[in-house]
Amino acid sequence: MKRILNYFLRSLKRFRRQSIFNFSETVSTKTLNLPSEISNTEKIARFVFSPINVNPNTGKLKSNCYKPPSGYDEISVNRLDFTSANFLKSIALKIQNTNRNYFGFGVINALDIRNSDSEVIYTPKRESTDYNPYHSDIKIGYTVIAGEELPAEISNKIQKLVKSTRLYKDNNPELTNWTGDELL
Amino acid sequence: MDNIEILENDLLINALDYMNQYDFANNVRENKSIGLRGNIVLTSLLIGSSVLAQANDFKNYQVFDNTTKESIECSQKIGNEISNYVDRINHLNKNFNSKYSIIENILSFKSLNNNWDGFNSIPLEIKSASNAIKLLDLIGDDSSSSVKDFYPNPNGTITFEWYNDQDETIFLEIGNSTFSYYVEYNSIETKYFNKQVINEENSKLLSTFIKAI
Repeated sequence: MKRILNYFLRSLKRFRRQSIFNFSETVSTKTLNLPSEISNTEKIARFVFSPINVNPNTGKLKSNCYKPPSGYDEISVNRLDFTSANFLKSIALKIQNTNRNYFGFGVINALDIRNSDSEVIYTPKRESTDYNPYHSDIKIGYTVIAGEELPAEISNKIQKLVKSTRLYKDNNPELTNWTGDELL
Repeated sequence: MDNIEILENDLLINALDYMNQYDFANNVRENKSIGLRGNIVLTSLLIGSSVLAQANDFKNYQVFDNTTKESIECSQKIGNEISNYVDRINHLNKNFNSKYSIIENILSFKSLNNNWDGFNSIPLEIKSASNAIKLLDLIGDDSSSSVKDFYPNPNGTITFEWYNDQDETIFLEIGNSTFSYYVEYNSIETKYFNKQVINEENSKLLSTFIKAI
């Protein structure tokens, strides 16, 4: 009986330790002070999947990485300055599947987004199932229609975003922690 | 000497036709280029033709110096013909393989699932896919096979990119009814072409831009 009780207490302590670790890893206390305005100096991160977003031969980012789905004029990104690569990776690993393997991140400055005639706004996700207090959107200023190509001017604008993006590959995508270069 | 040339050309064409099924196809697959220098069979054939020419010339003219000179000329002529033939085969193989693989990939994009990019995307639409294949045909093998990248978009359209080392770009997107593209050369201001109907005239203009890259 004593042995069972000790085992139970040890398990409880382990569970508590893990819970604390997970909490500090996923949601930083810095989120409490997240400004609603995104400054020009902030770095913005976008999930990148392979092979759909990256050319396997050249290693170049494809413009579909920044193309909204039909009915939308925005794509999801994250405020990198207030979070960690580990937290973003935990989300990316959740949404990857057999057709789209988590590859790494594309990082772009907020200023470069605005210089490309687009906007980035803060749109945190507070729902418990989809919780992401760093979530933001890049607005391209054109609502995409299913089966209809974008105006060439909008494609050019998106291509400017691609060219301003620094692509970071995760060397060990199967691990839970980020193992690529520092996101700058 | 005329007899020798005819004899050697016949031999050469037969031999090349035969070899085409093996050596050229294998070399293209493995090395992605055919080099005359590296092809042992072709080299042997060249040596063989020059030896044969030399022997026949010796019998006809009985002047060794002249025979040697004409044999070399004959070998050079045959060598040039082989080079031309190899270039032609390389060109055909390159275009055939590229176009085939492009169409294969276009069809595979059609079979993507909904939400394939994790952000509510749809698979490539049938109309966009068939328009892409039609446009590839219209712009010609040289333009279509020089494409640098192509991929599906989240809204069911498809994009093709051509670019060079100087960062000059042609960026084409094909939809269910029309196609739009822009041309970005260093020497001129960016040109935009929207809602282009897929026809010979519009395809010809696009192809002209692609060839200038």
